[in-house]
Amino acid sequence: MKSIQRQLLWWLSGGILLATSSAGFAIYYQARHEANQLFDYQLQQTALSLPAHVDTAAIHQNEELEEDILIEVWNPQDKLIYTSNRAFSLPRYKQQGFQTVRAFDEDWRLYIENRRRNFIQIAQPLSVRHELAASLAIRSLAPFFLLVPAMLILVAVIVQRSLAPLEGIAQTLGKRSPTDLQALPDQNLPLELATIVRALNNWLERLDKALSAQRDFIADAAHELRSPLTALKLQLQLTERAKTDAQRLAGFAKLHDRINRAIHLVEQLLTLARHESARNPVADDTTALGELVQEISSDYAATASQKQVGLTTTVPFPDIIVRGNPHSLRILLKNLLENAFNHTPAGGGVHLQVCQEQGTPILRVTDSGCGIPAESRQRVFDRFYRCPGDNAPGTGLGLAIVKNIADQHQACISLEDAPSGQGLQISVAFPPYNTSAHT
Amino acid sequence: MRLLLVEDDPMIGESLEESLHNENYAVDWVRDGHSAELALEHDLYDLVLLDLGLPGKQGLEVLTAYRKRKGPAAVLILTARDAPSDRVKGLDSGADDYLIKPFDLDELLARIRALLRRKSGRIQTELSSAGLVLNPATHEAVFRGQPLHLSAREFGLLQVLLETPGEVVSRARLEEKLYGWNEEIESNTVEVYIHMLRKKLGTDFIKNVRGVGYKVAASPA
Repeated sequence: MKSIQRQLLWWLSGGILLATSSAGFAIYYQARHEANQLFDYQLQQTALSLPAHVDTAAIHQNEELEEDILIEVWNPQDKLIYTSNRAFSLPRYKQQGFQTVRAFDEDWRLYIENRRRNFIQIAQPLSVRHELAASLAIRSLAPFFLLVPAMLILVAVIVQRSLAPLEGIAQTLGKRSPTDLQALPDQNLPLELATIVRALNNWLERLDKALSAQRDFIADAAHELRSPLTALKLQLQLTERAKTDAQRLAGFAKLHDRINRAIHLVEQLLTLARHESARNPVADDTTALGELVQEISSDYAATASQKQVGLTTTVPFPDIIVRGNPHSLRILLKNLLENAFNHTPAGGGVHLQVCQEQGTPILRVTDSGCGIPAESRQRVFDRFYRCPGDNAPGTGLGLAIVKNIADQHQACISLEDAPSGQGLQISVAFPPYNTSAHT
Repeated sequence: MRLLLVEDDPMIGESLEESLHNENYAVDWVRDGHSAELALEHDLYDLVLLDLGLPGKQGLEVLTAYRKRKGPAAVLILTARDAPSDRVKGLDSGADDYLIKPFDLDELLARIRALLRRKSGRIQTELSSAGLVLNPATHEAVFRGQPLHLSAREFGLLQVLLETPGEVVSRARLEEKLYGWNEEIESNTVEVYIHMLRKKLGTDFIKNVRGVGYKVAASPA
């Protein structure tokens, strides 16, 4: 695993070493340059300091000359008349002034001067200068070599101290129960950690909301499931006690109603749970609204005639396509339709319509029922909410399912009074489907 | 015995009403909190079966208000809320018992009998006076050691009279206890039942106090 501390140490020590060695080279070159100038001056001075008539007698006078300097003097007849080192000699070079030559596997710096027709040649090995420059550089860099380990230790300590709160957070989280979604303390944290902790707290808050919504749902569902089961159990016990066949038959008919109600509730609960947990149900599916409306209205023709409610459809644009899952949208439309049927008295009418307004595809269900009072319109999409005085059959989940599916399709639902003034009109406006963008 | 059923679920209400009728109780069924308050204004009921989640006014509010003005009926809460805190709240608001849905019909009926017994200050499960013994649980009647066949109404009428032996019960009171709202009462039905009972029990068993009502003797068997 990557460790911030280890990474920091590696990079910092690498960086410091690189910087130190570059500085060392720079100092070395600078020092060598300065040493060159200095030694050249020294060579020149040595030449100048030689007596006017150099001869063998002068040799002894110049004994204190530095050993690494070789002085040679030739007379005009090219005869070596003086050398500071009898054991060793360089040939005579012709060019006057400073020059660098290679002889005896060594680089030499020469200064040659022609004085009173004698040739004075002062030589010094370059290695002398390099050694001096190197020792200068090493001396300047010595503190750095002490600094590197000190810095590394310091870095290790700082990193450990800065990351200590992280360890604290890890321990706090480790001790927590899975249901404890309280925010982590974000006081006195380094800036970088505070950002993470705040993001984490934000996420915990959203998770808490989602979980409490889930808990509410389970509590609601448990409560709502008990009612049809109670009705079922009571009716079962009543039917068991029936004294006549007629009573028994009536009891069985009621048992059927109650079982159907329980089944319907369970189905609606499952539908809702499925659509709430679905993540990306829309995908790239498309649905033709016209076809859907025709299909569903023929499915419900029998229900309509049984309830003596007129079911009409208007599909002026049969080829309106929306982005959406056909199965989900079928559930949406069925729930809208069932809601309309449940609230429309016999002799009333339910109207299904697909239209397009300013490019927005709209699915519209209008009934001639009791409508929804304005103050309840915000709440009808809540699970299990029923309008006060609403005795129509139903689970209280239909519109919650509709809202869920609409949200997944980024569709907007609006509730209005029916244009006739009697009943409710529900419109679902879908985002326009751009064919070119999806081919 | 007259019961008020407060239940908003039509299916539960329907089945409960039928079950209670079968047990010879007079039952009035209301479906919301406000109607329950209206019904409770008159002191007609021996027992109230109260659902908590009601439209209009919540069951607990109805109960609290009823107990505040010293409503005497026994109250049995029937609810889907099963948390212990809900039960405590229900009982502390003045309920006599608490039953969680879905419940067993037999248990409900037994609890109703127990509450009615307790309310009338009886310890025995059977009602008895002047040689007549009534068992509300089994609907069996024994008169002077012999099993007696009684119709549901006859049984109900005797039950009301035997709750308070020796006391005079008015005709109007008897009608209230025997009939729910939606049952037609013919002007002389109580007299008809009294007449039939006198045939079975002898003319002296139920005494007619002219202009006041009827009573049975308080003497023990």
